[in-house]
Amino acid sequence: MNQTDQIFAYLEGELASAELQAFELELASNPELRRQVDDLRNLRSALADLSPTPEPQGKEAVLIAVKAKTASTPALPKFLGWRWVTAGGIGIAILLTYVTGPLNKIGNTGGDIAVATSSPMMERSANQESEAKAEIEPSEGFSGAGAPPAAAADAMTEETAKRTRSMPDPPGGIAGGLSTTRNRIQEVNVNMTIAVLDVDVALQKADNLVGQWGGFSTNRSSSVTEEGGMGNITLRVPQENREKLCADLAALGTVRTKNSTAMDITDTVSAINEQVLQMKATEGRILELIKRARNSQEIRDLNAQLNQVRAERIQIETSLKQMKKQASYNTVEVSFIQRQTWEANNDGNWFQNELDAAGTRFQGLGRFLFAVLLNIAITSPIWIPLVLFGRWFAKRTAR
Amino acid sequence: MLTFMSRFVATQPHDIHELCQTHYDEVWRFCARRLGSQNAADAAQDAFLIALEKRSFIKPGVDPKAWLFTIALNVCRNHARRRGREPFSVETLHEAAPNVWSHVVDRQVLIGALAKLSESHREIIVLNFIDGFQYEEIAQLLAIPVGTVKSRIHHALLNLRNTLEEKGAQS
Repeated sequence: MNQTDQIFAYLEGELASAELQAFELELASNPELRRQVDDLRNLRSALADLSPTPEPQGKEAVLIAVKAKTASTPALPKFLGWRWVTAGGIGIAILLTYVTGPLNKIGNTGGDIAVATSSPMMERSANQESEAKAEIEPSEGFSGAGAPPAAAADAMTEETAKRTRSMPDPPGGIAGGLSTTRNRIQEVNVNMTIAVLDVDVALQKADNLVGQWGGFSTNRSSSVTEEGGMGNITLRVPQENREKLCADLAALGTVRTKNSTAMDITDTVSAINEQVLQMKATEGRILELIKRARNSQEIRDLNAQLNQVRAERIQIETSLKQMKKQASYNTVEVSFIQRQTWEANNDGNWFQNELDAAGTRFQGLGRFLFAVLLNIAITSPIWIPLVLFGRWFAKRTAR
Repeated sequence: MLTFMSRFVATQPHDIHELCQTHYDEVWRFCARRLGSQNAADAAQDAFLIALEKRSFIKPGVDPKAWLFTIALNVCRNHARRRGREPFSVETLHEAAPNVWSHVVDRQVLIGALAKLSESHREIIVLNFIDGFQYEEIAQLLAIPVGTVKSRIHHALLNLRNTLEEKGAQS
């Protein structure tokens, strides 16, 4: 306690007896301290005497007014205070958000890539898939009748060979041209661009998915640029599982683009088959000639021709097998690009995307708390005015 | 727990007529010291009518007198603001009866020194020395801790003494 505090404590009678004795001793021996104490004592006394003491007026009138108004003025309802309004506002906002949907989606998100199965984003992807499916539905000879591509190709060998050509795009797109084509052989290529939060995780997922559908990956690469991560993977999948794989891939993120191309190779296969048949016929004719050969030199020459034709035929047959194999598996090329968390998707469902992002970043309690904070932030237009009004009302009515 | 529950339980409204009967004179003088005796009756009436309207707001354990003076203080502030003057003007102190004047400090000099204090210091000096409220009552009135009240009063007194010393040296 400094000397000024001691002076005030002395003037207000708050010093303990030991302190009081010590202070009075100091006071007796210190004229400067005595002067300070006297100054403050006189000042307090002078201030107390400054109070005006006029006689109160108007008491009767006020008493009458109060009595008259007591009956007619009901007491305002007790206000609980702005803290309760704040808590209530936030609570109502969270409850509203939960009831209206977005928050309860958090419980559905699972795994390192969060997918809310009923989310609008996923519904949109599913729609895209079904549309895409209609676009690239192959001929019935492939999938509808269940005939394998190789069998179809063999059946075509008796037909007249035609020149290989790409199927021209009809006015309605590829689908219009192919849906009416029967017993045709096609190479289907699907290119997808999918925005995901974690490119590496998505690549790994894609690799696993193609294995589940009986396919394999042939090429995989990833890179990081200023815009974020990027990864490419080429998948080969049995034709009958292509759509299922595409649907699973779409669920990994948000499908930005999806292009499907189908190249008709029926004519090419027929032409090659015809060529093989002709070569076999040539081989037969050479064999006949060998049988009729008159000397060994003629036999050697014919044998050389036979070997040459046979080698060419084997090479062509190998290419044909390769082509059939190519047609029996479809190619799905996927480009994963990193999605910015703040970026709104085409469907505009920013809130759902943020929850998905939370599902990816956090697990368990952290994910839930993130969702709650997100709700509080997003519902701030509801509860901030409530709180401000509550505070204003509380201040207005408190006194 | 009881304190917590009491927030939700409506308290019995106080009898404002009885409060008016008991404390009218004090409230009137309180208002007169801030607004002058011409305006004190109006301010006192406003204070009691507001108290009547908000009688259910008083929290359990709060002294009704302190609550009443809090309302009166706010009424005086509003009246002063409407008149374009400071809530703790020293003008009203000139109404003090001359026979109670202490001869140790010149009255006019003291009022002049008070006018030079900051509003918060002047307010607390008036509440303590002129209105005669105790530290605990002032703490309730201004909704500040008792320690803050003491410290503010001490600083105000020291400032006042310094101002008076300066004036004494000048004269």
